[in-house]
Amino acid sequence: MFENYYLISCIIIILSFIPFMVMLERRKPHAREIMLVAVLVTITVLSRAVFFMIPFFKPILAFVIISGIGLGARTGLLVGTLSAFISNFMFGQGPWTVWQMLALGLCGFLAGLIFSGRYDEGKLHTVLVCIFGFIAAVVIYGGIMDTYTALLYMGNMTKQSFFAIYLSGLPVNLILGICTVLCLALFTKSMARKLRRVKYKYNM
Amino acid sequence: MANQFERWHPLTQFIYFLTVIVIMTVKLNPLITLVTFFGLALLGFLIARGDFLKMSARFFLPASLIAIVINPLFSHEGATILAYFPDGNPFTLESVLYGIASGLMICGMCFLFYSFNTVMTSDRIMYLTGRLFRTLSLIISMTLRFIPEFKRQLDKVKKAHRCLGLKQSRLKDGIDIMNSMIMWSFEKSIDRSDSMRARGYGIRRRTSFHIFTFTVRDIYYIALMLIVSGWYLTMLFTENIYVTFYPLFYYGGNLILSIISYVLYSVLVLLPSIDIILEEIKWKSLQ
Repeated sequence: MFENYYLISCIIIILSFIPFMVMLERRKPHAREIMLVAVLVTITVLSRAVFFMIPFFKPILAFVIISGIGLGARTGLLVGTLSAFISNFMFGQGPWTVWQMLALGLCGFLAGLIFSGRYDEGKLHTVLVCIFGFIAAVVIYGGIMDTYTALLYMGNMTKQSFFAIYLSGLPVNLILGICTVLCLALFTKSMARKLRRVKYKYNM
Repeated sequence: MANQFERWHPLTQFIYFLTVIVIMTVKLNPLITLVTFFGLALLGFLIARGDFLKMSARFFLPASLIAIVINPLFSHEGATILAYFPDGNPFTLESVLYGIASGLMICGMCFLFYSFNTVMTSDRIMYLTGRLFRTLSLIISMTLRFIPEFKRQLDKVKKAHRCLGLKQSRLKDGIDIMNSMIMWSFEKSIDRSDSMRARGYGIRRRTSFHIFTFTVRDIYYIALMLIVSGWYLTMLFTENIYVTFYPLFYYGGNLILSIISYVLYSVLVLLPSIDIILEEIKWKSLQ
């Protein structure tokens, strides 16, 4: 009956957000936590504006990953999904919004899951974070966004057509990956230190 | 000046976009995509005139052309073979038809999101999410407030940076500015959250200001849209509307019920446009 996998996948993605949203509402987070998330989302969304003079430099993913590392998986997911949503207030919502939210949220979530324990112990390796960032950009973000393209454009799905879409998306994903690695190499240390300082100074 | 569609209640507008996108994508149906394409083109034109035409020519139509071209290249299903590609794969009539239909659908989707972005301003989205998810919408509204402030501060920092005579490489400048911005915004956020607590955040339920009124018209419209979409989906599931592209393009089902469904759907798609046009006529005739 259903041939359109695009609509079904969108519905599933939206449904998968709901548990996290309900969890957030139930938890009744502290004002400081809410404010910190809002600030991280702002920094993430506008990081592009800071580096506007360098073409193709998109640090969004890197800042989502750093937020996940510094504040844990749950906050990473929140920062990722919200930055995708809010940056689309400026660039325009579209059929891609939900998928970007999923992709960025997942990257933030995984970063928190893998690295936030090490970060709390103070044993964070920038190299490992960079490797994760590259994989996240090319495989997770790129993979999800290319799947979106394939589902929207392809009526019937064959191995070849998917392969062709992934292949044609690869250059863009590699650029994003390199950019993310660069940003992570530059900012992981300093931003992790700042986050730790804020958390320590204000007892969070 | 706000047109009639922009005066609808956010919920009504949201349901309009939702029902159209669901009906349009649930099953690829050439007639539905045609109705959607023309209906939403009219709506886009009524809302934004020249800007809409410019965007369509520059982005939306090329995007759908890609879909039209791509499909026959990768999809070799279908029984009516028109020619063969150099690699031996068949070039079929069905895949061309499917490509055209899906291209029109993608174009319709672009039109839909164009109207969505013009009509559903951030305060409207906030109003809708704020009903269900209070914390989430609070975070969104704080972020939206923070963005212009951040931009202003960014400008200040950049100017200060230039005044200090620091002219390194572009990347190095960016890093310095970014670091300064990050620390500034963290400190600012903590100050502000203390101020939030001092003003009693979390003590009672929050209310938020809005200027939207839910009128009788909205009730009628929402009822109409829900009935039409319910009707269409029932017709689809009971196979009274039946379309397949592969292996042969086949259009079947109950003719009379299908016609009723298409007329109803046209009314749904054209609802905001009719509203805008009627208002325009009334305004002109009263002058």
